[in-house]
This record gives sequence, C-alpha cells and structure tokens, in this order.
Amino acid sequence: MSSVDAPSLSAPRLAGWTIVAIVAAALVLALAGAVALNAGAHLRGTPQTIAVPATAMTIARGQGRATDAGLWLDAIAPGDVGLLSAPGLVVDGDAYSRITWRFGVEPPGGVDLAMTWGRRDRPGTVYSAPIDWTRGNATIDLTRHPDWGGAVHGIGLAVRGRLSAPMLLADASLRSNAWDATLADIVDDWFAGTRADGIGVMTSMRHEASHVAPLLPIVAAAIALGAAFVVWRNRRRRENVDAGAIVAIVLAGWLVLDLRMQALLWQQHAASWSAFAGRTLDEKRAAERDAPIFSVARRIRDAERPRGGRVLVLSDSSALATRIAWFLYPDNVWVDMRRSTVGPPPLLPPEALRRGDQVVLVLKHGFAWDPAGGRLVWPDGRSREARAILVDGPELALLEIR
Amino acid sequence: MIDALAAAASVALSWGAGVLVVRALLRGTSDDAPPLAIGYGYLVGAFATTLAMRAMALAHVRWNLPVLVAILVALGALAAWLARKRPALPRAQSHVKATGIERAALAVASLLIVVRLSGIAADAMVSPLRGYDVWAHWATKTRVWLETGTLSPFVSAETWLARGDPSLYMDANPGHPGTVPLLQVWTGLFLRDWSESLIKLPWLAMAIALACAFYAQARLAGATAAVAAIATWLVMSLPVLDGHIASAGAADLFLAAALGMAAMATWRWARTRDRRMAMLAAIAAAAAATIKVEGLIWLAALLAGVVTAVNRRAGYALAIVAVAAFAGYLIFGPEQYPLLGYVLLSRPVNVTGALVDHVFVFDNWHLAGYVLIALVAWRRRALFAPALAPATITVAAMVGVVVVVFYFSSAAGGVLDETLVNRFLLHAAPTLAFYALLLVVDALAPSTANASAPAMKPADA
Repeated sequence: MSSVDAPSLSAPRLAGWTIVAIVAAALVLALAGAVALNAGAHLRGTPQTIAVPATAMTIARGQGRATDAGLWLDAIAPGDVGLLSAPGLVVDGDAYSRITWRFGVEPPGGVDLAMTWGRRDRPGTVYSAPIDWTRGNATIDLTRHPDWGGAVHGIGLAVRGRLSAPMLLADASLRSNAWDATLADIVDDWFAGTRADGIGVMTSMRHEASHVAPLLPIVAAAIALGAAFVVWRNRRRRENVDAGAIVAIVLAGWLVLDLRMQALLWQQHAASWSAFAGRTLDEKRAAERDAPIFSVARRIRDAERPRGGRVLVLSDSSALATRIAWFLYPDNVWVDMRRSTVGPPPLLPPEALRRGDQVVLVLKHGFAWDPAGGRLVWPDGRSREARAILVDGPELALLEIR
Repeated sequence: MIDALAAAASVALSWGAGVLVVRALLRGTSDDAPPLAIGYGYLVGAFATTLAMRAMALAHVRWNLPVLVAILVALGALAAWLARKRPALPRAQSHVKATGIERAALAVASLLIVVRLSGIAADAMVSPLRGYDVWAHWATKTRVWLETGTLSPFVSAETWLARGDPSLYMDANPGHPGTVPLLQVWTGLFLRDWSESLIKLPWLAMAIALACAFYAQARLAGATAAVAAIATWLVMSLPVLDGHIASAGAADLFLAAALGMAAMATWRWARTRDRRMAMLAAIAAAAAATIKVEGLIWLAALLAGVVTAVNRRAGYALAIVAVAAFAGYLIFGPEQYPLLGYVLLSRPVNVTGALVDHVFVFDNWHLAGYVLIALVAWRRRALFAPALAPATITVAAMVGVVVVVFYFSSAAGGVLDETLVNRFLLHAAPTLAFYALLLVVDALAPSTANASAPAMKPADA
C-alpha cells in the first residue's frame, strides 16, 4: 500500500492476562446482575420445571378433540376466542413465572396468542397477557407482570383470529425463576439458536425478544464495567487513561459476541448441508419448512396443461398465492397484488380473463368450480366457461378458461 | 461441479474486467493498490456487465453468452492497454514496523473473516432461495428474464389485468430496478439449468469485494495493516450483513456495498482531490442508484458531503436548509406526501422501542451502535475539522434520512413489524463503519490526517 502509516496503535499498558481477567470478571458481574434482575426470591428451584401434560388440559372454548398426541383445536367461531386451559393446576406464581406452550402442530400464521390465568386470592378475575409469537413454541415471561403471583390456577392459552388450519397443543411447562434456573435459562437461550428453518439467525436476531436476558446488553454492560475499572485504576495511580486497554476490552467483548454468532451460524450451516447438499432443486424445496405448499405448487406446475399462457393464482391468503406463484415462474403468473385504499381489492372481473388463461384456486373462498356446467363460478354468481385440468376437492383447482 | 465452475467463471469474468478498469483509472496515482482494485473491481465489473445486458436489451438483441463475454473481455483488454500507457508510482515503504501484537491481530482478524465467509458460502451454495423479498420481488424477474433472454417488462397487477398483453409480467414489486436480477441472469446464462443456489454467487463476491475495498480504503486513510484488518473484521462480522450474504437474493447487500464504496471514495477524494478517485466514487454512486430506489435517497446524503468537501460553509448551509425545509413540511405541509415510493407523514410514528431493541438489545449489529455513539462522543470536538467535516455531514445526513424514513414515513410500519428496520440500516452500515474508523484513525494520527486534508479556501478555514 502506498499510504503513510499512522503511528502504531498504542499497545495496552496492562498485561494481556490482566485484560482477559478484567473482561472475564466484568462478564461474570454483568451476568450476575442480569440474573438478579430476572430471578425470583429462591436460590434453587425444586423442581426446576413443572410439566403440564395435555391430558391435564381441556378445550374451554372452540372446537377440538383430545388425542394421545395432545389437544387439537380445530376451529373457532368467527369473532370468538379459542381457549385451552388446565383448570386443575395450581402453582406458586412467585416461583414459577416462565411459561412455554409446546405445539405438536403450530397454529397457522395470522392468529394471536395470549396467556390467561386466575389467582386464588382474587377469585372471579381472569387475567391475560399477550404472547409475542410468530412461530415455534410460545413462551412468555411473567416474572414482572403485576398480576402474576401468589397461588395461580387455571392457566390457559387463548387463540384469537382466523384459525385457517387445526393446531395441536402437546403440553405446557412452567419454569422456576430461582437463581439457578434463571442462570441456566439465560445461558441456554444464548446458544439455543432459533427455529429449525435454517434461516432464522441469518436474517435477524429478533428471536432474542424471548430471551430472559439477551447477550448484547450484558456484554455492553461488561465492557462499561471493565472500562470503568481501567479508568478508576489509572486515576487512583495518577496515570494517563490506558486507552489501549479500553480498546482491547471493547474488542474482547465484540469477539465474545462474534464467537457466539459463529457458533449459531455453524449450527445453521450444518442444518443447511444436512437438508440440501447433493439434492435436486425440487428435493431442496421439499426439504424446506413450507414443503406442503411446494407439494401443491408442484402438482400445478407439473399438471398436463398448455404452456406459455397466463396463470392467475387466486387464494384468500396473498402470502400463500405469492409462494405458489414463485414455484410457477417463469410462467406468466398473476397474483392479486392490487392495492386498494378502502378495504380489500374488488373481485377479479370475469371479463378480465381471456380464453386460454389458467386459473388456480387454492383455499379461495367464494369461487367455485361447477363440474356439471363446466364453469368457474364467481361469488356473485357470474361465471366463465372453463375446463378442469386439476381438481382436488373444493380447496384446489386448476382450470383453463374457454 | 461443471455448473459450479461455470458460475465461478461468470463472477470471475465480471470481476477481472472490473479490476482492470479500476487499475486503469487509478494507475499513476498514490491510490493505485491491489486490494482497492480488487474491492472496487467487482462492483465496477458487475455494474458494467448489467450495462452491457441493458444495452443489448435496448437494441432488441436477445442475450447471448458469447457476445456478452466478448464485451467484457474487450472492456478488460481496453482497460489493460490504457493502464500500460500510464507509469506506476513507486510503492511507498511503511515507516513503522508491525509489532508482534499487531501481526497477531492481523492474522486473527483475517482468520475470523475467512471462517465466517467460508461457512456462509457453504450454506448459500447448497440452499435454495429463501426469504419473501428474495422470491417475491427479485428472483421473479431473474427467472423470467433468463427464460425470455431480454428485459421483459414487469408491471403492476392492475396494468397486467387491464392490458392483457402476454408479454407483460408481474410480481410483488415490479418497480424494483433490474441490476440485481440481471446479475443473477448473468450467472444463470453460464449454467445448464436453473439453480437457486449457484445464482447466489454474486452475493459472496460482493461481500469479499466489500471487505477488500474497506481494508484498502482504511489503509489509504492512514490505518495500519492491523487496524485496517480489525476494522474489516468488525464490519464483516455484523450479523445482519452476514445474513444478507447468506440468504442471498435481495438487493440490500449490494446497495450497502455500493453506497459504502461510493462514500469511502468520496471521502478519499475530499482529502486528496484526485479526480480519478472522484470518478470511482461516481461509478459506485451510479451503481447504487440503479440497485434499489432507496439508493437515490442515500445518495442525497452523500451529495451533502460532496458539497461540504467543496465548500464547508456551503455544506453547513445546505444542512441547515434541509433541516428547515423538513421542519417547514412538518408545520405547513400536507399530512401525507408520496415521495420515492414512500409516503411522508407530517406526524411522527413512535418507533423508538423497535429501533432500540434491534440496535442495542438484539445482537443484530454486535456492539456497532454502542461503539459509534461512544466514538462520536469522544471525538465530538473534531467532527467538523476540515479533514472530517465532509464525512460528518454525510453521516449526519444519513442519520437524518433514517429519522425521516423511520419516524415520518409509511415505512414506520415496516420498522414496527420489524421487516424494514435492519434492512434499511444495513444500507448505511459500511459507510457508518468507515466513518467510525476515520474517527479513530484521525485521533491516532492527527498529523497524518492534517497533512492529507485538502487545502481549504480562506473562507472555509
């Protein structure tokens, strides 16, 4: 390089092992602080986890059934709430405040989950707290919730919104908030990775919202403690501040974070290799988390149908339609992305379809294939003559407009 | 294996041509350095590749691999010939010998970067395209253009229905520029079949290019090899940046790299006033503008730095006018005003909680948020010194862009539902990281920084 080198970065005056010791001590202190902030009154949790099997739970609201695998919640009345609860359970809320609802089959996207419970000392009142959930098991930490505590009974999982597919609740567990369990939970969270969809860590560390104490603020606090100690030590000895030591502490903190990230990433790399290496594209897609969508799209893609025409994918779920459409490209695919400032976009007008257009109906409410009349029928009764290419019940049809 | 080699060849061809162009541009200047040419070379070569593809489409010529290869080979040959005509400057020798600690730091930082990128490469090269934007906004165009051999137009769902023209296509975002899909098409042209894994190779190449460019510019700014390598590791270790390399397919990494390279070259030009570095900055900026619509917004921030470099008082005046204009909009403007794909709002949306979570609580950016704030606080008296003022104004404008987009635009929804917050910050990340490095280097070597600062006009002093 042709630059003029700056003076060498001033090396820390402190010995390397001293800096390592400062960083380690600061991390321990910061971790202890995190445990103290998140733990309850007990030092040891006995037992550390209270398991609540599905057999101890009932479906208080909504339609469903109990099986060996757990409780199936099949449907919720429109505008209603589904509720799965354990009416006979009584626990010490002050000691057990982290709850996990484990699913055999996750609820479909678009539903909201909430935790409900009652208290022996306040009979007749049902409390609830929303669960921050997008996928995977649903966890909630009620340690600091003002209404959680005392003798808690009748915990429940409330499900709001449109349950477009059944969900299976396998069990629930209540985790002790004792110091030993809290410390174990904090550290476990850091290395637990994310959901097994192979992309979680790589897109965002959003899942850390469910951590008892995310690593980043703890490392930042440790660096602040370490730097403060160096400054205090220098001042006490009437020395200049050892800037090199502070830089080294910051870099050590960054390295701690980065090594944790490397560990998580390599878990994901291993999962990706296991799932995808050496496979064809279709096999890779079939190994993805949304493989059922691909299997539907594959049937449409591979159906005996004229090629080169336009394909319109209609579904009540734009996410589903978009995903299916992706598997159909490079066909000339249309998904309803029309924007409307007032409510949903208007119905696709029948006259917008041309002879030879192919229409895919996937979980599309209101539209129907009339096999007797050979017509695609709109919710308002209008229709177009069509030919069935692929029909699988009312939920899936591939038609060609005539 | 053949396809993997072919994909590598597609990247290597663009990269090689770009390296030769950059060397031809900088030959005979004090900035002519191999890492710089390698870093900027990929951006320039990839951009040139897409320009050639656009030109063929404009001429209604179906993309043809031999023709495109010939264009790039000709470009490289021309650049090599031009470079030969200019004498190279003798290499300056380092005045300071690296200590054992510095050599160890250099080795560890380099190793960490290699390990990180190796793992990501292994993952990206086997997995299919992932992530909504990737397969709903970007690769849709790739898939169609690769099939049709030209820039088949993408239109909105409404236009698609109304026109009924079978040559029109649609996807979830037909307004996105074509640069990134064209790079996938370019690699796809080398393959026997459609491969969702191998068309990700340009993302890995861009990541390596960014690392090289960052390191090279850090050295030119006065950092020692160890400091430059550590700073490069810090950038390349950012989890969100790595995420975008691994889940390759969206344009955000390319925009971040192009914008970062444009900013680094602009700030280098601000110190040396070498017009050829300015040309390099302009090429990177032009590439950024064609990668994503947001590129234009970010380039406005970069422009503020350019004005400051030319005349500091004019730069400050521009900053004051921009702040006053926005304040005027808040007071007198309409409640909503469409601008560059966003809708400006005159009433703020509180996104502070999500922003703080994603920058200071979740490990999306490691300690970058904390470190940047600490460095700015530490160097607060030097921020507007002649050597740093252009960069400071650029960064201040970028912070302004983030504030406006996050708090006063329709994008606030994307911040709150967390689909936008990290993606948008990623665009600015390499630029902000280099600014942080400048603050450190300037503090370590005030005499060096002052020596390389431009001679200011009396009015500026």
